[in-house]
Amino acid sequence: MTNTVPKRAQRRPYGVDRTLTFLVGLAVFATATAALIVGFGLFGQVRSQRPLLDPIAINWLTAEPTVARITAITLGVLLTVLGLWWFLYALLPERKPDIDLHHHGNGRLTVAATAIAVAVRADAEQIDGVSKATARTVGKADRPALRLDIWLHESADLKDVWQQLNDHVLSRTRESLGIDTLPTAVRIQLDAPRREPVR
Amino acid sequence: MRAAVRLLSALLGLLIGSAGGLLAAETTWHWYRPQNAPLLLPWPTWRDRLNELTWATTEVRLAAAGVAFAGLLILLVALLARVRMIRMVNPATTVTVETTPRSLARAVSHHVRQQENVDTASVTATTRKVRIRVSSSFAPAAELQPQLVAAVTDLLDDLPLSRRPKLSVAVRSTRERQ
Repeated sequence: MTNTVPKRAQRRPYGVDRTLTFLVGLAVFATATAALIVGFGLFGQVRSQRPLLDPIAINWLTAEPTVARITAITLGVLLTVLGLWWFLYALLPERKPDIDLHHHGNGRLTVAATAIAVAVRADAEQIDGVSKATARTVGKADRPALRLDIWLHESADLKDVWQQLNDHVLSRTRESLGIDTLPTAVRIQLDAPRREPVR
Repeated sequence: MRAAVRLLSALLGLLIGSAGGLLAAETTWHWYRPQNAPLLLPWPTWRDRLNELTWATTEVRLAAAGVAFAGLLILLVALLARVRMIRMVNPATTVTVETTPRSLARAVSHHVRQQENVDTASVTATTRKVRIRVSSSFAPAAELQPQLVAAVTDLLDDLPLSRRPKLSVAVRSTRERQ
């Protein structure tokens, strides 16, 4: 069965973070290893005795000062932009889109993300065997998706919960929002420790 | 590990961004006011120091080794940060269901402990394999092992997993030694 649930619904995407971190790690490791190899004279004793600030490179830079300066400034600005974007991308929280219901002429009706989350959560927690549930919207307002986390009791019958979740909670959410499909990623925690009553 | 890679990633982004900003600022400043350079960083001192050091200097080698190690750690964090969720059968094309390996292990472990003659049980679960180690002081291993396999198979049959993990049950019985 092919499914149409976007990866974004299942979890916050982390591919960019992982790839960039991997590339930086690789670059750092490769550079330092190259420095070590040069330092131990594997590229010749003469090369290993040269200063870190390579005379040939310095000569070239002083011969072409304008090119060198412009290159350095451009590189610096690019790195700043990349670094800031990267920093914000990693740390800003995920968006919770409100869902657009209708566009009639000038009229427009949206449902707030929190309202959906609270409603779905309340519905899911009604199911027998569910000890706790959280819900949130993800994606964009015109193509929303739902992420639903569910904690089950030890004694819960998963098949039963599953059926009720699909038949009641999700279909009701779709009906009340008036949309045909709402891609949903459900994440189940089996056998969650029972919440002890406070005495 | 995913939180770690996100934090590390933010930190690296910040470092790269600041390095770029400083590079651009110092170069621009040095271009327009060469006599007033440096702006923020004492880079002429660094330049003179770098001119004295050669690649074969002990401190350069040590620094390179340290940086290589740091690079390896970063690589490791990036490689290990993978989500390994256990997928379940999707009830509809617009719904996916998954669970965590830890929660599956917890459910299996709970089930195993409820069986007769089981003293202690430790369970690890991955997407591919559920490994169970049990100790018992009453029943001999040869007797208990097939019972546990049957019991856990029943449990796994009840869970709509999209891919059945392999099951391995090891029983250590103290009774046989007596």
